[in-house]
Amino acid sequence: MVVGVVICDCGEKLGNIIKYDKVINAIQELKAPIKKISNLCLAAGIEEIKKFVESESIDKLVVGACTPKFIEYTLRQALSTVLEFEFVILREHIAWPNKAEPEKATKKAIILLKTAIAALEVKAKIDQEKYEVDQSVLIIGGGVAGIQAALDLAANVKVYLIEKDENLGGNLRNMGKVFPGDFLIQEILQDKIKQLESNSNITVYKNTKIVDIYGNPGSYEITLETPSVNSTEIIKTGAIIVATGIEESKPYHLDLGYGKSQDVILQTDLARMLKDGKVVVPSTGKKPESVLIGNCINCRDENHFYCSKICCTYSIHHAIELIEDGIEPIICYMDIRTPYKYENLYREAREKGVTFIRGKLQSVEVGPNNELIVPVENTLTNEIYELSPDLVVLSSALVPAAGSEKLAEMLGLNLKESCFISDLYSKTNPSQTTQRGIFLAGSAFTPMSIQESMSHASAAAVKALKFLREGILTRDLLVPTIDEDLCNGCATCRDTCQFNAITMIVQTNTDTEIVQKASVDPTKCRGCGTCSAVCPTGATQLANYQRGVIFTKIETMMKAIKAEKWEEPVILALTCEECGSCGVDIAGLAGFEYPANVFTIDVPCAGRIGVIDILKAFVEGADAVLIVQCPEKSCHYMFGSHNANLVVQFTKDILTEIGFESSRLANVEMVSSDPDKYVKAIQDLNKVIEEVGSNPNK
Amino acid sequence: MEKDVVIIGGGIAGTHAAIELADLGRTVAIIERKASIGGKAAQLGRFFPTDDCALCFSLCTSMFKSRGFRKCLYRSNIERNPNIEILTLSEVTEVKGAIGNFTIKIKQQPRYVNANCIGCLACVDACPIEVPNEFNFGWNTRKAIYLPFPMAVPHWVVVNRTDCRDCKEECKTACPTDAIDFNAKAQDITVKAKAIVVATGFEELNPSALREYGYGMYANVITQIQLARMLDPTGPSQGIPILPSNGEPAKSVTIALCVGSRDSRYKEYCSRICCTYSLKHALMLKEKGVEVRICFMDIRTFGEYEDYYIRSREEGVIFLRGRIAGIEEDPITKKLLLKIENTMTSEFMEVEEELVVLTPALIPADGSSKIAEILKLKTDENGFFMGNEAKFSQIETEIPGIYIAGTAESPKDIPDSITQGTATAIKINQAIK
Ligand code: SF4
Ligand code: SF4
Ligand code: SF4
Ligand code: SF4
Repeated sequence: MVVGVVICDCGEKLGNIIKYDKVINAIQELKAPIKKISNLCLAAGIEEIKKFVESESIDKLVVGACTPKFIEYTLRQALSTVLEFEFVILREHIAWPNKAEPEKATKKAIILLKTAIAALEVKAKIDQEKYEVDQSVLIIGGGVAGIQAALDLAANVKVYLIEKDENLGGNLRNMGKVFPGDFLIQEILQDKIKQLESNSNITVYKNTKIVDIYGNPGSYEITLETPSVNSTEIIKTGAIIVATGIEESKPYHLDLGYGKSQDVILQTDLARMLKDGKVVVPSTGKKPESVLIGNCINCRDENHFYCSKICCTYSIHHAIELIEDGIEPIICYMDIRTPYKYENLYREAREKGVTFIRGKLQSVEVGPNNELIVPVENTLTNEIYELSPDLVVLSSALVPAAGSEKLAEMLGLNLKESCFISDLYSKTNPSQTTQRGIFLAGSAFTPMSIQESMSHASAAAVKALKFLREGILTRDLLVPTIDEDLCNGCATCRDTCQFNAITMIVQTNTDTEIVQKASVDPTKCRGCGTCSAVCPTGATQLANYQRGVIFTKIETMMKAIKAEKWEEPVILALTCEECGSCGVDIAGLAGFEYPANVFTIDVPCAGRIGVIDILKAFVEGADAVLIVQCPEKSCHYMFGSHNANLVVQFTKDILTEIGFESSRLANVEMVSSDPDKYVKAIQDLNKVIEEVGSNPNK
Repeated sequence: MEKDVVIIGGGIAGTHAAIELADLGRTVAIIERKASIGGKAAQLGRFFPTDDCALCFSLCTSMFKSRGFRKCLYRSNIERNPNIEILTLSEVTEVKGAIGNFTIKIKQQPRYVNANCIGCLACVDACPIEVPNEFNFGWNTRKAIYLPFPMAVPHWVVVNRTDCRDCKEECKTACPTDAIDFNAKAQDITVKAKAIVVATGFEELNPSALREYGYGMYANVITQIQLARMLDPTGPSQGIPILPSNGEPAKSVTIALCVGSRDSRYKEYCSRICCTYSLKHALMLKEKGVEVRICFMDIRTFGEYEDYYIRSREEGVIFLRGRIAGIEEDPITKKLLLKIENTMTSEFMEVEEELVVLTPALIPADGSSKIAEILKLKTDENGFFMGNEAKFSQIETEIPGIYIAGTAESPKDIPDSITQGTATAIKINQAIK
């Protein structure tokens, strides 16, 4: 096993800071083949490395150059014979931020290169496994989103569409004209349903519900039940799209007369009447003279914190239809939220004479003769009116469709605070759920307009199609292994993993005593390593980031620091490879300068860092330890950063308990564009060390 | 050059369309006017709903397989994707043909730096010319040769030749890879493509026309994007909101919403996302100990963004229902005197303020009307591109083979832009052979 080293001086420009000859001497002492080049990232540089790797029969390669975010992809493509890499970021992490201290920068480069060599010596080769994916998609929900996703996918793969109702179309079925442009949505819907039913790649199951889901991403077995024809069927599918949609909540619990008077109805009821062309007061069957519309009912309050987003627009659309029919509408609102061109509708409504009162409906009294009495406070003028409309229409909170919570549980999906299904990361991955192979389309995610649902569904179709085509490759994500002899069956790892990748398998050993052992499902695992940080026995070990590897890095690093006669205090930083390490990159790229005495070790996610790793660093003599992690809500692995915070707190408690200054341990939550936070954390830790002195274990 | 798809605009929406199409095995060319892709997100720095970097991209899964979900622009390796070609400093000049067979003519301005650039920045150090940095509204400087911003992609420097004065081409001497070529000329490039995505994006309305705010006259009246630059730790003031008049940290700020939006004199529409990003900024300011007052008509934090409204109130942001009727500046102290009409009480009040941040209407990016003309694509009365109404689609247009994504269609947030960009990929994949 030959570990080789290439270092690049970036067109000789880093040579002004890092003394490359010293670095080469130090590495040669370790008998590792080393080569210096000046243009690693250009084609000529890659050729040089290729030759070097061949002539020295290098199996594993340490690359000291600019950040791997720029070069790793190209190197891995070009050097297929190299089994494993380690990267030392000479440019962004050492030379640029320490340009004023060339001597220290040189030492730091040597220390980090030595650490990387040692790590490669203990890193095992990881085999690649590919899991093929069944070429079909199951779509749950036959509303506009489900239909759209089915149509988009059917050109390429087999689609099963499950609808719990006897008809397709979901909420759209109740609608007549919709904005923009007074669209007759039924025509569009019917057209889509026709396309759907004539497509031989799509199988539609109406009146059907899902009773069981078994299997894993890529090969699910789903049990369907269709009571109307007394049938149960099991279908196999590779991916699932959840398109269960929304419904209007029923505000029985509010003092608004809903359920008490027939004449207090919801927007959906009004939509149905408008669609049928006949608006009546339910109790009398007569056309109303005045209609009071109450917005934000049951939402933007303690019942549902969120805004239902689309009700302002449709309530105004309805009001215009009413006024055109000679009925007088009044809208009570909190804020009118008519984005972009829907604002035109708002203006049109005011011009046509719809009355708007700023103030949310608090109560509707039902009088002795069933008349409605509504006190309204105008918060703009502080006036209080008492209105007596013929009909009250409530824009009640839009909530996830009935049954979606149960479905989410079956699928292992998380719910947001709003009870809608959580996406993986709402900014860039809005149609992916937290589970691999399961995608989200339309209002199951959050209330959406019809057009938005259609786009969202198409996006979900893209993600599902890609998943089907690409399959799951484990080499790239590095999954943990579990040593069954060490696993004591505590299930801590299972309970920690939010990707539901760990199950406990019951085993019966010779004494007929029942034991359970953890088992990782590589098709679900994302490779964060949090399970290995929480495992009390060390049974769970993330490939390439095993405890042995991290410990070797810490030990080698501290030894090399001594060997280099480093005099300053030592801050050991454990950085997550996502925003952590990237933030350090950006600090360099953006020209920040900071003290040189920080030495980084990368982990895939801060979740991988366990109490023992931090203690190890202190045992080996680090004066301070810094954990660099994504903010909890931006964690690339959902829960890793949260776990890191728990670990830091717990470790601090332990340190205090044993009489060691817990202030030597700090963590910083930052995203890539927060390099200042990293710099400040280092400065702060240096101050702490100044106060408490150096680590006595040194 | 032949590609399956040409994408006009390398902002968030266009880039996502490119990533997804590339993953589906399609070849694409991104045509970007600027020297780097990233669009407005590059300047915005932070974005809701996660309050982290705006330059976060979903993963190109064909390159990174199962590893991770999203990456910063600079490490997305999009420029190394074999299916993606990025043409920067380029503009579309002519389009002919129809779906399956478009011919797109492009004019590419010279960068004066070629693909040999390794980003060592030796040239930048060597360059003697310093000019105001327009990316940061002139609040700091850059050299005549410069990297547009730290995360820029492609990660090559660029020369603004008009800035080069009396210089002996020091950069060229300093460059170790001979990447600088001052003989480079503008190029005409012809691309044949089967489909086109229009993702030209948006910009802020220049509020100087709204004279009551004094924008352009008073130093301490700025816009939201300008504030975003100040709040960027790698920006001109290292993340500290400052008074442009003297560079001192601002202690209190008034944010005016709906500047030129929902206003019959300018733009009648609501720009949709500005309420939410104003509140995001308000929270960031509060975190830095700055007092914040917001003048509004309605707070439109739609959907689950309501959370920003709730948190802003909890954090003590002052909400004032009303419009700023006029601003006067003290010529010596540069302090601002705001005349605010409180529409709740119909009273006028006068308050003194240090810094005023205007939230201008969002309008189609400069040049989109030209694109509309070249493509003969329908726009609405505000100049935003229109989807196919008969199909009720936001992303398909009336011309087969031409699609729109992101804020080119109407103002929208990053998740919606990404959704549209992603969604175009499946439509195109179906429509072309
Ligand atoms: S009525 Fe308007 S403000 Fe209220 S929840 Fe609905 S969309 Fe939001
Ligand atoms: S590595 Fe992460 S995703 Fe994989 S099993 Fe462990 S905790 Fe779950
Ligand atoms: S142009 Fe040359 S000197 Fe400038 S950054 Fe690129 S490689 Fe370095
Ligand atoms: S989003 Fe808010 S600030 Fe922007 S135009 Fe609409 S109402 Fe005004």
